[in-house]
Amino acid sequence: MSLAERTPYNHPLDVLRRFMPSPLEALIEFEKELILVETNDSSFLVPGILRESQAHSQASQTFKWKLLRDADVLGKIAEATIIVSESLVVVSMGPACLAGVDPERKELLAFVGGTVDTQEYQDSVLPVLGGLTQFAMGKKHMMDISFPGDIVRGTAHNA
Amino acid sequence: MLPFRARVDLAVTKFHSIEPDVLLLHAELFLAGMHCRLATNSKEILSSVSRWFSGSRYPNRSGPPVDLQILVDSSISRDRPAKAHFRGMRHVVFASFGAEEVFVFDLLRRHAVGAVSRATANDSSFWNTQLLPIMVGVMGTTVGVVPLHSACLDRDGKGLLIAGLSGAGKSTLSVALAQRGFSLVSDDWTYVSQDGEKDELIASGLSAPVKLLPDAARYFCELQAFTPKESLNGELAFEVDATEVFRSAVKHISRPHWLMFLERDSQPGCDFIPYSAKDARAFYERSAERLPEELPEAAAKRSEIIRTVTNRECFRVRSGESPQSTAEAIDRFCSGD
Repeated sequence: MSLAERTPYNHPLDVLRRFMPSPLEALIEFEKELILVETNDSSFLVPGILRESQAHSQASQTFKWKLLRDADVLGKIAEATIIVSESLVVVSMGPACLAGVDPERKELLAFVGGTVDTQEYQDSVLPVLGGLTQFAMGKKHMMDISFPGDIVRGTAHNA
Repeated sequence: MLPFRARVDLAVTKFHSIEPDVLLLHAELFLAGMHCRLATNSKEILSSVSRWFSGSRYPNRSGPPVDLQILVDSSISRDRPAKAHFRGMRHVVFASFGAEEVFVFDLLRRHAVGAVSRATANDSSFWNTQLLPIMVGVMGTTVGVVPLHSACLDRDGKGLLIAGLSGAGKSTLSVALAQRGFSLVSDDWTYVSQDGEKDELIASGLSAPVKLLPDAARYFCELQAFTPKESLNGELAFEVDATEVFRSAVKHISRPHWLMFLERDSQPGCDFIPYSAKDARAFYERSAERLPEELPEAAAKRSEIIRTVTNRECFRVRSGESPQSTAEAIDRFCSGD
């Protein structure tokens, strides 16, 4: 899907964009993980990096990604703010990329802004999505995930 | 395989781990019928939200609590003015205020977390007129507190809910009714919940400022001292404290008794037309935010509350009059004249 085809989604009763259509589905392999991707933008399925899998999509170990192209949001990826809570890990890289992972539900949800191009997605977003997935599957510690830039830990002592 | 090190060189990543053992300050908040257990590391936040500590306003709350964990970190910078940005998917809702202040709401586990700057911790207006109302709007339905797009006024313990499409004039009519002796519960969003185990409903407001569109200045000379500003949803509006500006009486709760659906008419006069419970229910169902399929119980509870609230006396109010004249007609109607 080209940038020109990305049309803004607007529904007065869906201000959070929860029900933005995501008609594309693909079962892929990424860093040895089997992932069922649901999306509204085929450019998120980067050929050569995300390999199409022949496995059955109902495999119990399948992790789910729902990636939505958020055409209304303009601007570049910003520095990351990461929040780790009891049930969710959320990464905000400005409005251009909001991602959250729910380890219990084996599910990753992300909005990616309309002007984030394939290169930026590949360089800045995809590594974070992969890292969050591996964290959620217990294969990687949070601090081992490579986010853009260096990590500063916030602590209660700063308050 | 993609190397796992990102190639772009951006500034600094902020990492906040929200752990109970660092959030040692606790408080119970009671927000429009919602019971919220707050944990934080900031005395400033406790002070900012202290107006919500009293549970006596909502004696018979029935839903489960919501947990809110807020970390204050001096490494976080505050961007102001920063446009709030909201997105939701399935059971997760993201909210960011500027580059570094982020909240996430988990609707399945009824759990919200956030990380903010010290400046925001001290900003009671942010908590009381933005974040907490947003939280009730986003999470209320999961604990049986249903947001209805209606104003609510009270007379002698009887609640008058005024619904209508955006721009119908709910807020200006609310102020005009408040000037006639009704107590103002809410001018825009009213939160309806069950009264404990009883088969009765409570309508609550959040004492947020009254929001009036610029043309309201034609009807209320009190607004001449104010300038409309951009509100949270981007609209230009006056946002004023009804008690201070209009000397209105304010109540926190009422019990829904009448429902009126306000319609503007080009013809003079003010008519009260009976409205069926079925049509009233359809209006509220149509205007309610869609809920994700992960929350079937919340959707069912919301429908049940809408069904109960629309069993009251319902009327369409068609008015081509000023807010003051419409308020006078409603006042007479409610007094049985």
